[in-house]
Amino acid sequence: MRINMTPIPTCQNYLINDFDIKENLIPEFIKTCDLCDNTQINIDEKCSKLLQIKENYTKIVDLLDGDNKRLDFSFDNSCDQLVENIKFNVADFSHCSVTISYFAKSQFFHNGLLDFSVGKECHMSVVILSDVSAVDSLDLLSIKINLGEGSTLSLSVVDLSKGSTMSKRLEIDTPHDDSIVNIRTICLAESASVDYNYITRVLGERNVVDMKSVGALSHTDKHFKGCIDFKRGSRKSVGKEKEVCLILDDESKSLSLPTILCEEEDVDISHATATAKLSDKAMFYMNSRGIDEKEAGKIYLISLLSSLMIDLDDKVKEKILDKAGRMMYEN
Amino acid sequence: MITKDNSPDYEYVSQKGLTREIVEDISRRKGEEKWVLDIRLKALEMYYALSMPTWGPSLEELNIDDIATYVKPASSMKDNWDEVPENIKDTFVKLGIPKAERDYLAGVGAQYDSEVVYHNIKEELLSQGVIYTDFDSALVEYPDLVKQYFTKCVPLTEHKFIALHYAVFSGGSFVYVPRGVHVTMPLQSYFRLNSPESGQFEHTLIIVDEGASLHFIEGCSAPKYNKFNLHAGCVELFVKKGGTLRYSTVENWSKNMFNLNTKKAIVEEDAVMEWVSGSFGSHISMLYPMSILVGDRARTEYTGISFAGEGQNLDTGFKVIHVGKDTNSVVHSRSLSKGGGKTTYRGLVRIMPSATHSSSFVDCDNLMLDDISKSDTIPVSDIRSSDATFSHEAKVGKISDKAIFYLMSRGLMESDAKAMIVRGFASPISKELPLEYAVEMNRLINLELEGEIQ
Repeated sequence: MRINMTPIPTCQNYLINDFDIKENLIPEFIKTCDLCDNTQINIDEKCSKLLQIKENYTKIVDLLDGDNKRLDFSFDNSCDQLVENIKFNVADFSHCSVTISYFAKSQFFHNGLLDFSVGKECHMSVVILSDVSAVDSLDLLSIKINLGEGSTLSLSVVDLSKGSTMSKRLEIDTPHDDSIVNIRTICLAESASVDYNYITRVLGERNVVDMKSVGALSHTDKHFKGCIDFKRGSRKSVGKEKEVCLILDDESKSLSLPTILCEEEDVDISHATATAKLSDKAMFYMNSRGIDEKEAGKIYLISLLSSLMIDLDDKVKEKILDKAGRMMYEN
Repeated sequence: MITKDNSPDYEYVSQKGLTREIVEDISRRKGEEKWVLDIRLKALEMYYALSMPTWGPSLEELNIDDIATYVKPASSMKDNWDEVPENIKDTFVKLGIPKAERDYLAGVGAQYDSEVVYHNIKEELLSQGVIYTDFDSALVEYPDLVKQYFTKCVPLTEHKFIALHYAVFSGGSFVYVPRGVHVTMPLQSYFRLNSPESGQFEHTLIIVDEGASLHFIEGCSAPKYNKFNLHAGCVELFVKKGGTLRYSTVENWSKNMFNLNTKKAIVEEDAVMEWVSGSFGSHISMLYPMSILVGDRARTEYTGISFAGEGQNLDTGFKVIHVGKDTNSVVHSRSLSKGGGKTTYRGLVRIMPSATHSSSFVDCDNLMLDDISKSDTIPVSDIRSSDATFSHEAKVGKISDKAIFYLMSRGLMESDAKAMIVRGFASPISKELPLEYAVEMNRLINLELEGEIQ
């Protein structure tokens, strides 16, 4: 089954338009519904239909100024399937945060929809952590965010996956003026298949979108599709997109598609992608200071990650740094 | 700039559409050997088997049943302009081809609709063993050499329109530069599609042998009609060990043209492939030249500009696959859109696990000249090596108010200041072209900007 199509498909043989999910990962209850006949469904359509069929966690969360909401989901033998639909309504002029964590150590199926409706003049911080280590597991998450006028969103997505197949779709709309969106993604994946499809539609004037992603891959296929779509009328808006990925072995693959769509001339957009390794010069310098290759790689990765960890609590930071260090030493 | 020619004479115009009979008829009229006809028929099967692209600009307006795939002018190939029929010669004189040949080219080929009407090469290159002839002649005179390379770089199965190309190909150029020979003056082929509701399917095959070098220039134009025309040419390039090839193109198709051209190069050890591309015309272009760096230390560079005005959708870009070690690719792309035109950069960089110590840099700059145009950037990177460096940068924006203010403070009118900035934006490409072509390209830019900012 192929899912999570990009807003603008590109040549079929580039292998990035959509994401292939192995049949054996799809639970029987999904296989029996009609929507699986369509091989090009995006996660959102599928998710919303799925929720009607089998939804086991539905919640509406109203957030007011000063609220800090935390939701933890753990998969284990007693609960190995989660299809959640959570709607967050953030009141005007609120400063609040939401942290949602998913933990797994055994096989699971997850298909979630997080829908944020953010009022005007809000400061909203969202952290989504997936710390899953489970083979033959399917982890699907759709996030929809609608931002009010003058609101600021800071979204941190942290994926520490091992063995699973993961697909995330993020759709952000900024229909009003003067909103700011910061999206920071950290992906440290081992023996996994991961797919990100981020779509930001900029409609209002003077909006700012800043998308940053850092990844390190070990025996992993990673797709990163980041699209900033400047619609007509998004005058004086600014869009920045940056993706850096470290490939730690020759079995890993990083496929990237940082798309810019632009219908408005009076905007400032830039994007940059890189698969990075420490330059020979930098490595020589590190070696001359007594730092070996592995430690130098670890320092480099941590330096890339550090600017993306500002909204994370110490426990999560520690997890990220532990995993980054371990991955560099194991490869 | 693009004018209708004097009423042309045609010896033969095929029926519109695509059938086995039409394909067999083209082959019979050209007196081809069976192996060539077999390729055409196999391609025809592929054309019917392959589906239309599900991405990129819409091709709904294109109907192959409205297109004549073979149009033979009433002239055989000559090597002296005086022998070319006046009405055809006039067209090429207006385009400046005979003068360019006299002034700075080592050889010229001129194709009118489906057939090459003029081909010539300087004596000194012949004595060095350089072969430059039209593709139909090469099939007869150098069958072994052609067989060795034909369809090996761009296979029949590549996509639907390349299958169409192989079914009805006609004309084009064949170049072989022997080992160690440096062709110091450029060779040029010019393609003129004159007949309305017709297609041009020329095949260009260039082999630059070990340690040799060549600069090849391709020019294209067509008069404008109310009905659509189709250009589905194919360019196969082979750059052998230590060889260098620069392939420059200035395309100025009329705005009723579907330009679905395919260009690909196989680059061997220590060889260099450079692409310089200016795309100005056409209604819809889908053009993505490609280099496959198979040899160690092979290098490629792409420098391209596209300019889309009203009613145009130019979907262009560059593809590169790194296979050899220490390979390097650099891409500089510029695009301008105005009057509701749409430009898209659609590219691919793929670095295979074998391509250790390889590097690639892609840079896309897009300028929008008004608020009704569109500009998209869709670059794909597919990195499969832990020991490769890849970086991509892209920018979209309008002409800087600051820069205009500065130029106006130096006494320039606003329109002149804007035109100067646009020419400066295009200069990385124009400076890579021979002077005469750079002047032509600037003239095209001025024409495109007329009524907008001048």
